[in-house]
Amino acid sequence: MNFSPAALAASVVLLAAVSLPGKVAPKGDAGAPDAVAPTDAAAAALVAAGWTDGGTVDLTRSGAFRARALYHPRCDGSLLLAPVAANGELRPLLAELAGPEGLLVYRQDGRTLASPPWLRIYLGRKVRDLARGLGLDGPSVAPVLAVVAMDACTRAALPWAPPAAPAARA
Amino acid sequence: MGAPSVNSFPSARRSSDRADLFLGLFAVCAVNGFGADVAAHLDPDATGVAGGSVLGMDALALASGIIALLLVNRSRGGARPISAADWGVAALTAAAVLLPHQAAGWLGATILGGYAVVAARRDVPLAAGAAVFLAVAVHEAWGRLLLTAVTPVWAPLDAALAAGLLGLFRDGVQRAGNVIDTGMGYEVVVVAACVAIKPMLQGLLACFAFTRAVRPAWQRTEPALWAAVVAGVVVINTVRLAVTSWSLEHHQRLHEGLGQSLVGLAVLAFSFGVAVYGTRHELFSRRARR
Repeated sequence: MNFSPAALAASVVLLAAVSLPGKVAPKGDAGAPDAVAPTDAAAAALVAAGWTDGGTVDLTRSGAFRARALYHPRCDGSLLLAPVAANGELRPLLAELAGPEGLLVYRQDGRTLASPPWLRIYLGRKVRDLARGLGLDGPSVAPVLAVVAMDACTRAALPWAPPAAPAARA
Repeated sequence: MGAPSVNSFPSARRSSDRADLFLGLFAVCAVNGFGADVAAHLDPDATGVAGGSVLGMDALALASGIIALLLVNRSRGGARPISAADWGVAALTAAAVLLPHQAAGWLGATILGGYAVVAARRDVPLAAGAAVFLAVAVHEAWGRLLLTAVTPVWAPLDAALAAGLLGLFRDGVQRAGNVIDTGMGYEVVVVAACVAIKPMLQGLLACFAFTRAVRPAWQRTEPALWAAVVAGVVVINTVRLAVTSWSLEHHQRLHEGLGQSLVGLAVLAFSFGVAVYGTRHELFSRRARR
């Protein structure tokens, strides 16, 4: 098939004109997931189970990472709820805060997980953004909340069942 | 008047060749890729602008994209016919570019660039331009996926290197995961934005685009240049992490602003230096001819 240069140039300009508006249109919530609602929901569930909401605390001096602290009347230590990004930059810090006596688990969509499928969550968000751009619903990708029980007492007082241990290899 | 250039705009009589088609499609991919950056930059809800940006576009990626277009343009006028496979990939690229997503332009560049690197490997300028476009797409889109995938592994590694360097000059420095206990009553968390992956991608793109611009033909020794860039960037980033962890004052002064710009310049200067070394024969023989 032969195309004259003029026809090719016109096709290219048309393709650019048709495709560009899809990139300029508002993104919606394609960026960071809403971290406030799941944190509030989890905190409310804990308060209903007898915990006291201690408000927001800074995990780092810069204040770049924050968590919701909750206290149980039987325990000295606190429980932290922190939204985490799929790139996992906060995980080692949270694991260190949990220490050997504590526990670090994740809550997503009402489930307690030992280690969420991070890459699938990241890709799921991209697919969801694409689907929304096409006017479709797309897959639902719930935000991930880290739950840090800072000692054995808070660990025992958690109202959520701990994640199932991975099956032993044969 | 001189003789018409081989790359002059084609007359209406001749048919478009493969390079015409690829040049047009690469231009559309670039317009979409960079257009998304400009749109995000002009968004009133935008929270910040990355360093080294032109209207939200990464200056290095923009310059590399221009180099890629110029390389592909050098291949025009060769009268290489457009094959059925070329048309098929062109249709796929157009479909990808039409997707309403910020990364659609770079998805199109990846499809077309990947195809052109293989299918047009005997057309050296076209293959070189396609390879640079592929590198820009990796830098602009796929690098973020890579960053998400490797940060949990890489951040502790960077933290270990920085803590090790800091420990040479100070007692009490410890490291757990990506957290450096500086021994001065505060801790530094190495997050995704601090790991060496992003500057590494910048350094590799700078080195690769410069090399292709000077010497479009591929040489087997080039992976050694990339390895040198990777090693150099890791060293620069380690020094940066150690210096910004030295004291809270150092952190506040050097973590962003001037410190960030200096690190960016150091990465680019080192990467271009490696590229100049790698293409020294072409560069110096050209000078000698002049």
